[in-house]
Amino acid sequence: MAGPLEQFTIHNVTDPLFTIGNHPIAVTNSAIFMLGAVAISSVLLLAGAGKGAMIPGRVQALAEIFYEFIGNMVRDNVGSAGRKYFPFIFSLFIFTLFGNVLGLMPYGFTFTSHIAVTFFMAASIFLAVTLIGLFKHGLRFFSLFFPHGAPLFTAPILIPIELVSYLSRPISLSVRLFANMTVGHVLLKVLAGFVVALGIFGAVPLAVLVAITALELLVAVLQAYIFTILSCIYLNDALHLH
Amino acid sequence: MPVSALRASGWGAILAILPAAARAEGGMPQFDVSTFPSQIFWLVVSFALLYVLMSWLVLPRIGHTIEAREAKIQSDLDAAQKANDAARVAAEAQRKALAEARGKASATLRQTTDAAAAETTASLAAIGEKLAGKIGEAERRIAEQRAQALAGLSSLAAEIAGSVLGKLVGTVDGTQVAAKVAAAVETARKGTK
Repeated sequence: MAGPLEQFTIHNVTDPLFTIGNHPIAVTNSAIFMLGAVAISSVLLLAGAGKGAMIPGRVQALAEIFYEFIGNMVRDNVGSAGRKYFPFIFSLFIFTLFGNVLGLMPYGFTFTSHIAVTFFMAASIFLAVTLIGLFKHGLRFFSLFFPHGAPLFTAPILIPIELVSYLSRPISLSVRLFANMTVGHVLLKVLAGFVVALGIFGAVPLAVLVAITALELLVAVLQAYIFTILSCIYLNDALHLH
Repeated sequence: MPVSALRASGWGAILAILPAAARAEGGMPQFDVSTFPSQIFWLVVSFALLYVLMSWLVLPRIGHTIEAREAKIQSDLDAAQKANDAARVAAEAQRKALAEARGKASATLRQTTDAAAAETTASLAAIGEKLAGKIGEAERRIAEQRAQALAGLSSLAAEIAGSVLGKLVGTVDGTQVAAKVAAAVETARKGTK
């Protein structure tokens, strides 16, 4: 039987299409699930946005729920200045959500369980947010590293702490998503191994497996939410400082 | 930081129960650096595609629909408010008109009743007067006839008495008899009264 980590293996589905630098780029199982997440979510949301009926049908209601959910999240956490980042935040949520949930499907692959993906996303967000803050506030942006109103003599302690905490944001953001997804899938796989190994008594881990699958579905949605809302909070820090 | 986050997520516990073989095979596929360029390439491509689709096609349409719906609801609410106000004004006007009409009607009624009552009183008075006149006339005539009858009675009595006396005693002085009879009649009348 395959080991619990084998589900994370990335393999090429096609021959390499081209190379970037020295790296051959082929269509992989990860790529299929990324593009699949984009295709499924786009079809769903385009269908929901298509008619624009006054009284929404089911698909339109779903699309509008997503829209208003992220719209409120951006408004509550970033304010009106976050309006122009709404499409990005919305895409971020949809991408992570569909990536997490599609990974729970049988034979699925979870591209968000790869640190390369989550760290690239988190680092890009971190970099973009930092640049936005620098462009908007210039050097005043660095007041972010010294809490407003703290006594001046605490600066030698506070500034390094704030700086480390700021710089660790992309790491915590990416590892949180990656680790949650990986651990959940490993746990499911290990439990599934017990079901086979225990024969008739495998019913017990099977029941646990059902419960854990429900839990993982919750985690998948929750982690997409957390990833998105933290991005909003970081953006808000850059736009409004403290 | 990553280490503590991993541990916090229970990663260490999971690692501990992994079969040794899996780890011996070269560790986690997540740390296979050779897959990174391909993953990042597809991530950029698919996310860019999603972002373009969302920001160009999906989000403006949904936003437009929601705004149109809110505008529609607001205009409907405004129209309802306006209609409600108009209805209230109309109800007020109607109430006023009704009260006015009621007042006018009761005034007319009172006036008519008063006029009818006055007419009745007047005609009753006229009739009463006429009746009183007739009664007075009748009484006067009765009294007259009575007096006439009474006067006739005393002269009749004197005539009867004169003729009776003439038959009995021969000639009689008519005037004397008449006076006496008249006195007697007078006495008798007084006695009967």
